[in-house]
Order: sequence, then structure tokens, then C-alpha cells
Amino acid sequence: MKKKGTEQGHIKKRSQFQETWKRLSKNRLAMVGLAILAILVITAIFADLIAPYPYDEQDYMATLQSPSWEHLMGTDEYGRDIFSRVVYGSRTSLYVGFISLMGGALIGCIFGAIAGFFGGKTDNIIMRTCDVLHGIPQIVLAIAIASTIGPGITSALIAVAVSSVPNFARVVRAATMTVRDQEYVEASQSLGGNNTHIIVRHIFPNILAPIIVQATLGIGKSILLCASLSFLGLGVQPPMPEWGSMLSNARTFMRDYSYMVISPGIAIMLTVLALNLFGDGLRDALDPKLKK
Amino acid sequence: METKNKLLEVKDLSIHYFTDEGVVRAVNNIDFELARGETMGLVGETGAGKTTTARGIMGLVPNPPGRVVSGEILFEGKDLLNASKLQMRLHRGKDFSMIFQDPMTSLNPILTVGDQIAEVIRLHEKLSHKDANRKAAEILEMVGIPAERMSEYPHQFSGGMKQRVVIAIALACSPKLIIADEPTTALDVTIQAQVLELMRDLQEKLGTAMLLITHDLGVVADTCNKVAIMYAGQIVEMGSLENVYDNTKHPYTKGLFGSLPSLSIKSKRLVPIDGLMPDPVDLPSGCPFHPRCPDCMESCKSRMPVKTEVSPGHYVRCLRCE
Amino acid sequence: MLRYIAKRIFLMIPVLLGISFVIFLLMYFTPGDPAQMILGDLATKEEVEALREEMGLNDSFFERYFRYMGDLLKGDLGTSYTTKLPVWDEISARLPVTAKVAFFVIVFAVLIGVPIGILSAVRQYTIIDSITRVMALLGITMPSFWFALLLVLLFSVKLGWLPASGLYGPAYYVLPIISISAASVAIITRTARSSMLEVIRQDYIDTARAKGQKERVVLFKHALLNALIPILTVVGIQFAGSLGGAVVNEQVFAIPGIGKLMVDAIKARNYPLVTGSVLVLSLLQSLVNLFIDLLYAFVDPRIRSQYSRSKKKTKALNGAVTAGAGTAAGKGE
Repeated sequence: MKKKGTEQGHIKKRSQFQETWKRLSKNRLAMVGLAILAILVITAIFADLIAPYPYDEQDYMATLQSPSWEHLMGTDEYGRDIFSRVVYGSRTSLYVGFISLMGGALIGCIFGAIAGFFGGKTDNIIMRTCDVLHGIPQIVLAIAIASTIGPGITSALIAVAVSSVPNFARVVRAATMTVRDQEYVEASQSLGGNNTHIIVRHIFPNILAPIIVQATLGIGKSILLCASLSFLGLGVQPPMPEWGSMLSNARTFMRDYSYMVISPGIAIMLTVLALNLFGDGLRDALDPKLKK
Repeated sequence: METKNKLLEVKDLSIHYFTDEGVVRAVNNIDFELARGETMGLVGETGAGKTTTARGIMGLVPNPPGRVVSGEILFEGKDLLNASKLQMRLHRGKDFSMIFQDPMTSLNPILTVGDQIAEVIRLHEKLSHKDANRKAAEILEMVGIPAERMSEYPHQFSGGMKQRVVIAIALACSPKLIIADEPTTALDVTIQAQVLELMRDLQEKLGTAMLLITHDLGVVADTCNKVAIMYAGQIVEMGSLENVYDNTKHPYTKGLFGSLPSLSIKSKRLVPIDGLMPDPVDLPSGCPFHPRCPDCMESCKSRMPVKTEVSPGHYVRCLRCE
Repeated sequence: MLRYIAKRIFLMIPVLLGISFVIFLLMYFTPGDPAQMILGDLATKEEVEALREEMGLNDSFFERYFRYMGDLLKGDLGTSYTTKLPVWDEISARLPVTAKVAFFVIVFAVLIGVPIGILSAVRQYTIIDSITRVMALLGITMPSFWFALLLVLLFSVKLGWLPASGLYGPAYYVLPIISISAASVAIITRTARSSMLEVIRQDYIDTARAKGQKERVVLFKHALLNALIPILTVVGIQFAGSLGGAVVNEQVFAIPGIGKLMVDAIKARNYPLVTGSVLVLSLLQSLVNLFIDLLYAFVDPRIRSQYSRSKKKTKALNGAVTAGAGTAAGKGE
């Protein structure tokens, strides 16, 4: 009897996933986003194979060269191949975007769920803390954190993660509060389920949709934030390839070597664009009510 | 019926929605007429095309995707479909007005109810701000709301009170025709009766004709002189109350009565109509009701029945009556 | 209403205290010795130690925090390590520049974004709508500092029409405002469009049409005022965004604003200046949020009438507004 129940649950979950996928696959823009993302991920994984030169190989015979067949996007002031650096840069950006977002999402979800589920004083303390973090403009908070830890990829990671916590906490709190009062949660409570069990088994699966949407759109924002930090010289440091810091560097040579500012910017834009297209599509697919 | 007395004549009206999924044939070749002061009930299930018919008369079919594809709508002998936008605007609110389904959402939340009533008065009558407000107050009193509440906002009213305000807006310029789209569906049963009574009183007092859209045959019996039954965008049966209620011809109408709980007739159980309303994008061939019809004949599947007058003023669209 | 404003200002105090604590904590843990920085590498250990003692750097965290807060209450934000000037003097010299830029940015974004968003909603599925949506998407995805570089490249380097750095006259504002506002224009356009689309489907819009009202009045009186509420939320959020954008783009355009001041201060480990800048920027944002909340009440009678009622209801409503702001923000971005 029990086995049958779980089987049914399993089937239902799968069909829900399939439903979503079916709707998503009809959305042409979302599919374009997904395709770009797939290409980016493959580029990041196989950067060693795709990039024609190592990202830090300096060639003093070929500095500041315009794009050519040998150097598709030209070279920088140390003769490093910009195309290779852009390719390796996808690694940095996706890594920072993804990891910082996971961190921020995890912390934000835990606190948001606790605040929404328990309410009262707990809620008050958590949300007031969020208010404090929210009261500081995001980039300013990230700059402050980055300066504490010192410039580098770790500080970019932590800064971006921490500054995305309040957003997640709010979304999750609001979603939890609506789910908390549903009958199936009350049913589980009346059956004596403990709180952790209820949050993990009943509440979490039902608030997954807004979290996924927030996360997809959030990676894009994290990547932008990380690029901004690096652009200010407070994030990823050279020679590590990162699009924002490449732009910061290119700025010096912009007047005479304008090609240097083009490709890293396009790379950032394409990545964020893909994440946005996919995220928007996902939101529509997960919540068909919103679309029409 | 004399032509002079005819207020509204709808002839061969078809309204379709052109969507990505296909052409939604919401209203198909319907005819009916309404005399001055008369009340007609338009009955049907959700999706039968009642609201689209109403919007068609008001000139408020959302376009795109909706479009009137054929027919005439004669109001006092003039075809509304040929009227300019300006002419339609001058008609709306003055000669005919509409009460929408849900009073909760039909009032603008950020304007006072007084302003919303005065708005329609100022649009159609050359009155000063002050006079328009005074008239709005009178009308509010007429629908049973104290005039002091003029300066309150919709969220301060209950559902029934809001519907009274909506009625006040619709009646403010004493129109010749009111189209009421399920005016009581969203209300509690006790409030429903009050609102219907109010509408009936005001209608008598002002001599307004009314097209009452509903899915409730009981409401029709209480309020209307005439009734038209709609199914899949067609009027399948139409006539006086006696014709349709006591001498029911169409199997669908019979089905509607059969699925109605009744205290006077002792039946063991309700008889629901089998099946569901057909998809208006893909209507069945022949008579659209044939897949659900208990009296379906072979010819029903291929031939569309025509409008047949079975007795004076009683029309049926059914092959068995032809 | 007045009481509500007073209450809201009162409620800002704990948030600002929290912000000051967080920033002070961050600065406390920042590596490097300010005394060493001030005296330079040639100073002896004794000299550094004496200065540390004099600056109170050897006291415990809480001693230092409370001393800082005590000074803050007297309007003293400390002294800049590098220039030896009071921090407030440094900030107050730069703040108007940043505030001016951010203000122009948000005004520009609203003036462009709201009408285009409405037009796009009213003409849904037309070419105008499609173009608007593509432009909005580009605006959101483009890093503002990169857009700034591209603008400089085109209008300053190639065409020579506009100056690329400094802030000496109206022409100098053009490129910073366009580049910083791109994202805000895009997000406000999107919000205005979706909010307007939502509103024009409402029954009360049909009620207004059924009255015989002119389409123009239906759109601008009945629809726009209702659509304004989510737009306001996003404008508030975007003001914060434009402050952030200003902070980054002040680097590109060499604008002597508070953002450049702060980044330079961080690089020089000039903590009092960093703490002061963050506090002032946060205060500015909090004030804007307060202003937006009060605007809601002005537009929406449902919120206005809640103000005058019991405490409990106001509380419940605050929750609702925050939740609404959250979803709107989610939609906008």
C-alpha cells in the first residue's frame, strides 16, 4: 500500500517536470537562452581545448595587435591573446556567478524559510537583519566586503553571495508564508510531524518554483556584480582572466585600441542575456497563470 | 411586434476571436430582438458566448483578437456596427450601459464612488461639477446607499453594496437598455435577491429594457418576459417564458431543467447533461449539441438545424422540430 | 498621516544603527594597520605604537564602536587618514555631485521608461512593442560600465561630440546619465509595460469604457493611476540601483563623486572615510524608500485609509507592501 503511494507521488512529480519542460520547449526565446548557456558551459569546461593560447602567455613581439586570423580578438599590452582570455574568462564568470549564487541562495533560503515558518520574533529578527543588509546599496555592500577580505576571487565570491542573501530570504519567506497555512501542512502538523520534517518535506518542494526562477535570474545579476567589482579593481585580479577586469585594463588603451573593450563586454552581455531569456521562460513555464 | 417599439434587433451576429490556437467561434449567427421596457434572459453555460454577445452590442469586443465577422445590431433602427467610434462612445452610458460580472473588480479602486458615478453623468449631460455630484448623490440614494458615502472608496463597501454602486453607474443617465452580465453570481444568496429586486424596481420605474445574462433559470423566471437559451455560440431556443418553460422543445433546454434541483417536482435524482461544452475552436459538425444529445439522430451529425418557429414567437434550432 | 511619517522616520533609526554596526565590523576586520599607513614605511615601531594608542586603535571593538557612535551623534564622522580633514567635509563636498547624477538618472529613466512602457502595453504585439522589449532586455543585460565605455568610444573618441571625463558643465552629464540609466530605463519600461497590461485587463477599465469615456481618459485616468503603484516600487529600487551605477561609472568618467571617493578610500585603507561614505549612501537610500512609501499613500486610497486605522492593521499592511515590493522587484529584474 505504502509503496504504491510513493510510486504515484513519483509519477506525479515527473509529469509535473515534463509539463514544465513541454511549456518551456515551446518558448523559442528561452530555448535560445538555453542554447547560449550550453555553449558557454561547454566553453568553460573545455577552455583548454578551445583557447588557442594559454590565458597568461605573454608575447612581447605581438603586443596590442588588432584582430587577425592569428589572434581572433587581438592581443593586449602584454601580447596575451584576448580570445583565449575571453574563453578562460567564461570559467571565472560562471564559477563566481554559480558558486556565489548557490551560497547566497542556501543561506537566504534557510533564513527565509525559518522566518516565514516560525513567524513572530524569529521572523522579526531575521527580516530586520535583511532590512539592514538591504539598506546598503548592493554594490556598495559588495565593495565594502571586498575591501575587508582584500581583492581577489574569494572576496568577489563572498561579497556577491552575501549581498544576494536578503533577496532570497524575502522571496522564500513570502512563499513559505503562503504555503504554511495550506491544509496539507496543517495535516502534517496534526499528525505530529516535527518542524524540520515539515519544512524539508512539505514546504520546500512547494516553494521550489520561485526559488528556481530567482536563482536563474540571480546568476545573471551575480555575474554582473562580479564584473563590476573586478572593473573597480576590487574583485578578480589579473593575470586571472575575468571579463570585468579585462575591461578595466582595456580602458587605458581604449583611445587607440578600441577592439580591446568590445569582446569582453559582449561576453558578459551574452551570458547575462542567456540567463535572463532562460529565467524569464522558466518563470512563465512554472507559472502558466502569469503568462496569459 | 411593431417596428416602432423595437429597441434592439440583433440579426445574424457572429463574433470570432482570432488566436494563435485557431479561430474561436464564440458567437454564431444569432438573432433576437428586444422591445422597449422588455426584459430578456440570455441563459447558457460558461463559454456559451453570452458575454461576447453583450460586449458585441456594447462595441467592447477586445480587438485584437476579437472581431464581429457578420451581422447587424440595430439600436432604434440604426446599425451600431456601422457607427463611428465617436457615435458609439456617445451611445455608451447614455443609451445603453452594462453591468459587469464581478462587482469586486468593476469599480476603480483609486476613485471615490461619487466620482465614478459623476463621471458618467458629466460625460453625457452638460452639468457643472457640483450638479453632477448632486445628481450622483441622488442616484446613490436611489440604489439604497446613503449619499454621505459618496466620498468613500470601493474597498470600504461590501460586495452587495459595490454592485449597487455599479448599478447606480449603469442607470445614472437613464439608459434605454441595460445589459447585466451575471450581476448576482459573485454575491451571497441573500444579497442576490436584494440586488435583483432593486434592479427590477428601478427598471420598472425608469422603463429600461434589460438583457439579463445568467446561467440561473430561476432568476430568469423571476425577472424576465422572454428567454433565449445559448449553446456553443448559438441561440438554440428562444421565446416567451411560458413557451420555453412550459413547452420546452430543445433537448439542451430540457437538459438544463433536468439538472436543476426542484422542490415542487419530486424526482429521485438530478439528471445532468452528459459530456462537456465543445471546444469553440473545433465545433462538432452538424448540430453542435449532437454529441451530448440524448435524442441524437443520424442526420444531426451532418446537418446544421435551422431556426424554426414552432409556435408564434417560439423559435427552436433542432432537427426534430423542423 | 503626520504621525505615520514620524513613525517611519523613527523606524529608520534601528536600520541605520544596524548598517553602521555592519560597516564598522567589516572595517574592523580589514587587514592592515592604519597607523603604519599614515606614518609610512620609514616609521619606527615605537612611533607606530604611539600613534595607535593615540588613535584608540588598541581599544576593544565595542569601545571603538561606541566611541564612533557617540561622535556620530555629535555630527562627527571622524577624520580622514590621508587628508586629515573631517570625513564629513570630504563627503559633503562630493555628495551633491553623486546625488545630482543619481537624481538626473532616475528622472531621465522615469521620463523615458514610463511612457515607452505604456505605449508598448497599449500597442501590445505590434512592432513598437517588440522593439521596446528587445531594447529593454539589452538594457538589463548590458553592464553599465561597458555601455559607458562604448558611449565614450563613439561620442568622445570617434565623433568628438561630448566630453568623456570630469563634470564641468551640462554636456559632461550626458554620457554618465545615459550609461547609468540604461538599466533603470529598461527595468522601469518593463514594469510599466507589465503593470499596464495587467491593469487594462481589469473590469473597471471596461466599466469606464461602458460609460462612454474617451479611450485617452480611460488609459490615463483609470489605467495609469492604478498601474503607478508597482511602477513606484521599482522606481524606488532603481534609485538604489542608480546610486550603485553612479559609484561604478564615476570611475569611468572621472566624476569627483562619493563613489570615486569611496573606492579610492578603500584602496588607501582610509576606513573612516569608507564607513562615512557607506553610511551616507545608505541614509540617502533609506530616505528615498521612505519617500516612495509615502507616495503610495498618496496614490492608493486603500493604503491611505489603513494609515489612519489601528496599529495592528498598519503592521499587517506594511507586511503586504513589502511582499508586494518583493514580487514587483522580482518581476522587474
